[in-house]
Amino acid sequence: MEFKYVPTVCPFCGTGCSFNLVIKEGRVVGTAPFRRSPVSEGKTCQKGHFAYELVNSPARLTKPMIKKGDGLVEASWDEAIAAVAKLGSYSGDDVCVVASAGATNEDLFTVKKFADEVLKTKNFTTPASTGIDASAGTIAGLAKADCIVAIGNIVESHPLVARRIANAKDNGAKVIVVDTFRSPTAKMATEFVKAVPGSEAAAIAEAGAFVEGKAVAVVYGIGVTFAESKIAAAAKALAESKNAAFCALPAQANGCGAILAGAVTPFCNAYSGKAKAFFVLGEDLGPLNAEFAVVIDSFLTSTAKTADVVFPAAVFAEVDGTVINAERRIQLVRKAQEAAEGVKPGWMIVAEIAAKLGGNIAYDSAEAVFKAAYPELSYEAIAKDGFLLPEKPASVEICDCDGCKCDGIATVSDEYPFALTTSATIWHGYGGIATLSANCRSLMREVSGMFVKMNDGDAKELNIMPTDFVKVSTANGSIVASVQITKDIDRGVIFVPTTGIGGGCIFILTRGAKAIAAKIEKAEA
Amino acid sequence: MAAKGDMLWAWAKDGNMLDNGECGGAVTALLKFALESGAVDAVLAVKKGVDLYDAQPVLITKPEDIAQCAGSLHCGTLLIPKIIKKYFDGANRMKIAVTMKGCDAKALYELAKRNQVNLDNLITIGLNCGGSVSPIEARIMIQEKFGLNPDDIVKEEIDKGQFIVITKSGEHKGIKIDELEEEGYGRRLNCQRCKTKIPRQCDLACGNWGVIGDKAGKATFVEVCSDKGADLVTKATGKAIETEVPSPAALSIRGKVEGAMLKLGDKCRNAQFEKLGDGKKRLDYIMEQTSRCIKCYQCIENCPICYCVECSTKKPHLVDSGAVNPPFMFHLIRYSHVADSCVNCGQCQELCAMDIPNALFMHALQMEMQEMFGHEPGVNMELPVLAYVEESAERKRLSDTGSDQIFNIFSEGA
Repeated sequence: MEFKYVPTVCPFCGTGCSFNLVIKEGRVVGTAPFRRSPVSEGKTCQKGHFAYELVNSPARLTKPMIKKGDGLVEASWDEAIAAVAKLGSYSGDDVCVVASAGATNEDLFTVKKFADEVLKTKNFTTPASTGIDASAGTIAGLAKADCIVAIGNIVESHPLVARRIANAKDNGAKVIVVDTFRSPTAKMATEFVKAVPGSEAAAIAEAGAFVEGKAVAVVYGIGVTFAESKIAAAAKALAESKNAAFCALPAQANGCGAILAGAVTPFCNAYSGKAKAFFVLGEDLGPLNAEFAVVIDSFLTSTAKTADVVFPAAVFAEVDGTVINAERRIQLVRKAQEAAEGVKPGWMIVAEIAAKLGGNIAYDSAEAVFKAAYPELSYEAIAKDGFLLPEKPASVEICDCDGCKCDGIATVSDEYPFALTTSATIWHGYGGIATLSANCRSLMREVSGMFVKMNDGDAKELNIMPTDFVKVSTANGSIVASVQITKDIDRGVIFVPTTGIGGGCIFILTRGAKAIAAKIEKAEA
Repeated sequence: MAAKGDMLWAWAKDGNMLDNGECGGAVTALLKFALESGAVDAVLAVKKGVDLYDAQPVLITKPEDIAQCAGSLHCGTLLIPKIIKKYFDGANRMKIAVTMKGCDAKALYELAKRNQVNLDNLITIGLNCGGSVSPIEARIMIQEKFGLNPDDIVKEEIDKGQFIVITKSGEHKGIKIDELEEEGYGRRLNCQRCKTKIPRQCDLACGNWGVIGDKAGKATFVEVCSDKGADLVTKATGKAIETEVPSPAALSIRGKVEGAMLKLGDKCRNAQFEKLGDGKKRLDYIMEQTSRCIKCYQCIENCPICYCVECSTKKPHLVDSGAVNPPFMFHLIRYSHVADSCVNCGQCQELCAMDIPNALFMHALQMEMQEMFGHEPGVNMELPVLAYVEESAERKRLSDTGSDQIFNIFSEGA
């Protein structure tokens, strides 16, 4: 009987925890602690622990699909490759190339080459392409800080970074938390600076008054809204004024890698409506309204459903590759099981599509791609502790598109009396990462759809009970959600997680805003 | 003919194992013999993973592969019995010889009591254990306290109260464990509190304590703890191992080493439990520490007592689904379900995403319950006190008497 452990990196957030995949008879059957992990020492959050459940999910795509009439039908690889030919007629601003920032460096490097050399477009973006690049210090090193400013709900966005904040607090450090509600992170604070939804930057400046100490760290959990770079700019300014280390934690597992791979076009570009064609790897942008779209994914996402051609991709447990975590550590993702026949790693699919369109970006192996991107390193050299890339000065660029420019404050009215605030939930990620968590049954058992947190007084006034479902609406649209009634959120404020799960999605409400005026009504389940 | 209760020195007959195995290679030889002779279908042991700080379980079915698992790894903090339950159907469909440290042996008994593993299909080779060090903690300790590069270490051992490392250039360096632990380095906190140093629950208990004279380092001290263990030793003697009767001095030395370790265990227990305080102070501390829980479920997933498919912590009427931080009820359920049987394996603490001292809390509760009910978990197949409750009889008694005392523990001087 074959039984083995294969250490690998978690596919969810930018912390870069590791776990062992447990392999029995060639198949992933569980996870086990990898105590040798330099980042997490065997610990993981619930997403990491249950990540194995997505690997052999019955929802996995195993065959390419082609649009026929209104729907997608299964096709052979040859048919699917033939069907991508039309993509070659788009280039420059007409095409948008989007990858998940959870994809491996190998995938991202290949996609970048594909965008540059084959599609001849600069339009390559990922959800990590927020203009924020700040990764001072190490995650373990946070435990030794004597003062930490934590911006956002890091307990839920990056749980094993929050562990280090807890360590620092136990060691006597001051913990200043800026958040829009009494989140789990806020509850860890020695000083809690409550931000009005949409005015986080002002609250960060206010938090500066509490900063004291010799080893100060400012930590920001990057989300996926138009406001991220503005908040990061305020955090960076605070860090600079206090001589503090500034680390902005990417939302997805390889956010740092995505930036290094050259995905620097702002992510909001994907939603600008300018592109006529899309090439998407592993990300869920919601339904596309494009002339032509090619999607590479492991699951039939809402984006994939609207594509013209869909290719089935291997998941993290089926590929060799590398990802770079929030502290710039390149770590090895290891192949633990063979992908089903006809399911291939992303970089290989991209190379096949490139060949059809007259390009040549073929490699013999994942490591060959890696060596092309990082010639001075090898998989062997990073096998144990990964490799810490050198620190560089933090940089934050604020995009000047209309969405990113707006002030972001929720202007409530009689019609929309609540200020909606959004940030991570620990159970699910955003976009391509929510696709992964939605296929873990243990995570879905806890949270299977969108939810809204509201103050108990507001709930009483609206006669909303904990078992009710509500309709949450903004000027942009509405979703149905379950309710969590709590004293941790102020009256007049509601919280909806930055995720898309069970058919609902934060984007329907916010269109990328960090805060927006909303209303709540009781809904039929 | 070996018999239960026998003490002997043993070493591998095979020259290669004798030279390369730990302490004369007796354990390796016994495991290989069990496999070759058909006594078991597989050997489950521990091997080096990415390096000597990484212990991985390994399932061996071919006798020639046995060398993979030779050697002790003090950074091996994994818990084997739950692996047997989770991935080998509780040894219900295959016979397995397995190596175990004290916490493994105790965890195995608790799983066996709950019908989650089949002891009949297991041969357990106990390994004396003075405690283990979490891998990253060990690396930091070697860097900061030993002044050595952890990647240069080729071997580590715990001997005569010291943690000793050997570098690739042959340099030996040892530092007293007391000294390391006073500064917050060293063994896991649960190991410091552990008093199962020689796992006599196993079929054989093996180690290097009490091997003296010219056999020092070249033989393993074996205590035969069961008829099954005696049978394996009897059959293996002359074929796979050679044995010798240790001198009274050797027995005395082994006793002294164990005694000193147990004394240290008591000292650590007192110190750690004292810091917890008692009464409301303790409750406040527990509530404060657990309030940062993120519901990662690692404590439950890795606990050798937890086996329920329908875990109460996942029932929405007890603990709100999806709520983070979870209510204190989450932890109360764990305490009420686990505390009477906690074996202090430390997994719930070592793997807690938020570094909550879960094992300390549970072990402290367990010690108090042991004092009250006299039940010591992990040492034999005796059931915890609540297991004897006949639910229908209890319900009738409650109804008849109007009492709210679910199990009448405080009467009749129980």
